[in-house]
Amino acid sequence: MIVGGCDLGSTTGKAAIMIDDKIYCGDIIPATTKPALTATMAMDSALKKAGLKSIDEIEYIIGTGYGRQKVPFASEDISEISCHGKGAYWALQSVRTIIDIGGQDCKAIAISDKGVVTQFEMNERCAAGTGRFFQVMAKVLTCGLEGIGSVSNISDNPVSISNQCSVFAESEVITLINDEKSIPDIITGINQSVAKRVVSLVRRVGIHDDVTLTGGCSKNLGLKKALENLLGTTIKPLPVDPQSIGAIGAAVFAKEKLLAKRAKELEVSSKE
Amino acid sequence: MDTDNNKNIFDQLNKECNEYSKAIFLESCVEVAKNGEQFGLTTEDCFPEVHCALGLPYYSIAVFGGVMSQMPQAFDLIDKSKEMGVGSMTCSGPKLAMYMVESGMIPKPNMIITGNQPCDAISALGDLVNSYKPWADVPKFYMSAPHDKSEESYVFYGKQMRAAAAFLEDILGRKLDMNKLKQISEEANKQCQLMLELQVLKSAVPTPIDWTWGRSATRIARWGSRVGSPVVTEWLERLVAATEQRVKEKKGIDGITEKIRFMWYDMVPTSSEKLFSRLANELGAVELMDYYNWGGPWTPIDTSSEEAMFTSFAKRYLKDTPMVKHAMGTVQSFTDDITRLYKELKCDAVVLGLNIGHKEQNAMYRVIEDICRERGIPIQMIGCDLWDERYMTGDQIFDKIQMFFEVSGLIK
Repeated sequence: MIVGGCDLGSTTGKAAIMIDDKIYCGDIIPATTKPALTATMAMDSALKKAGLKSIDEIEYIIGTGYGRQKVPFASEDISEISCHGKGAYWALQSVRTIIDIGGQDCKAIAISDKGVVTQFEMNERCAAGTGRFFQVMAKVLTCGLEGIGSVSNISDNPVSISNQCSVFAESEVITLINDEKSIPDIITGINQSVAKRVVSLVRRVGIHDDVTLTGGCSKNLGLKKALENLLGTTIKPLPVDPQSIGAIGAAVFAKEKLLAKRAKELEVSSKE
Repeated sequence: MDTDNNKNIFDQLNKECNEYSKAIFLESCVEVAKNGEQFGLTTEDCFPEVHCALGLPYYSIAVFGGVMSQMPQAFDLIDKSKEMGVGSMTCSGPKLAMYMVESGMIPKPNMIITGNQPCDAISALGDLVNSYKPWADVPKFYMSAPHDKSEESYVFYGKQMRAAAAFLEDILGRKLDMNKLKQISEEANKQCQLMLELQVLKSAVPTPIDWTWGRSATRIARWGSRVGSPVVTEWLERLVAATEQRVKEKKGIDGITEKIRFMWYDMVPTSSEKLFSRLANELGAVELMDYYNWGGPWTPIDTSSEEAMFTSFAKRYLKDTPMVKHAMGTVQSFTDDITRLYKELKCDAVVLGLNIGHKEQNAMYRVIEDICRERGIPIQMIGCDLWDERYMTGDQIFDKIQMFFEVSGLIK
């Protein structure tokens, strides 16, 4: 059985293919101005990783993410909340709380011991607590997104960023730079500021171990550390790329849907 | 009654309602100003019956802001209000009205009634209206609403209303005709009863009519200067009869296979026409209740004496009017109504619309969510700007509602 999932996020496209129970994730594709093209590029990459020649070999595909209705080859679409829940549980069955920090939004998801999403909370339109916030800060600090994630361990005296709004926080960081605060201290302060915002969302759904982090910002080790400090628990790493969890969840859903479809067809044919 | 006939009745009702609503607003806001007639302005739309009995056209400036937010130039006006210095978190409807006042777009009224509204934006709008220099010579009356719910409070506010009516009488130079007020109030009682009947009919599965009908009923029966008109009563009677017919025939909303029944607990956003239509068409999710669809129950106006009538108006405003009753009450005033309507209307889910302008209620809304969830009610708070779709588009709200339904197991 070959199924697939495609997660068309606000800033990247991800695809995963499941052949029997093995997952093949494609590269993370930066979003283009054409969602369908981004989806195709992501799926082409996953096809290559899975050693498949054509998308026609995939029997069922679920689209998910912000642009899930724009995935041209999807059999149907399911929200990223459900897919992140499904994917994280598939990857690590002890997970009960998922923090997903993507390019433009941030979500806290609670799942049951059966892997079913029971509650979720997400930010509104504000960029605070999302990848966009880090992008703005990386630009001001001229360190790139990688730099934001890599220097927290060398900070002795993190600064306090009081503004949650990315526009005001940007001005605040410029002031801190001019005050000659060290870059690692500023970056650690930024990570702590975002973590505070995210934790308030997580508290809404409840902090239940195991907690895991998904989405592009899960690769920011400084943020992970700040979150762990505030949550008072360890964030469990997933055995797969946490940024592809939505696509993986979509592929798992695709498998379930295909099995259900087949069972129904079998039932109909046996009646005939 | 055959299907075509039933459809024709609804088409006719819709046509009449649109014409009537247009007349109400034109009459209240434009025509009288053009003709140089006396008219009032209020932030406290608490006793439309009195305005009608006095034959005084008036506009509720908050409703006016809401109506204007539907206009193509609304975004421009909202942006200009920000430039004027109105806070970005202020409710965009009143904010828009503030700009319209400040920039001289609103005709100068002959009398103004403001008060201590529970809505901070409308209160600010009232302050602006009261301090707006070109209107300095306009006679003004300020109403003080008690924030507790007791018989004493209703009697107190009833007296405030009577004093406000006396203020209007003085300026108009004519007395309030108590017999006329009684007649209007009795007609308004019938209308409120019909609105409640409509709400009960909507609880049928499948629900017989879409959300716009409750809004239409509210618009013509509770807003504007023709409240208590027998024409409205007759319109409501026909609406209730045609709806009842659909219930008997077990007919749902035309073209919709009802799968999910939900409430949008607040005023509906400006994107609601498209949003609710998408939800119904794509997910089979029908919206049954919101603040515009409010069918009560409304306290009947006791017409046995003048004092009893005014005390009843006070009860209607403080105890029965959605948003006013909620914002002046405790968390329980929300949770009791949500629970009651959730059960009565056989809802599957509740969307708690959190207007950006209601930010002071953020914490309260979280408690409401918790209580409702403890009661087994699937509920999700969705932040938006009711009057400015740019903050959260209808498509974005759709997306969040779809996620909520999916997580609640309402979409398989």
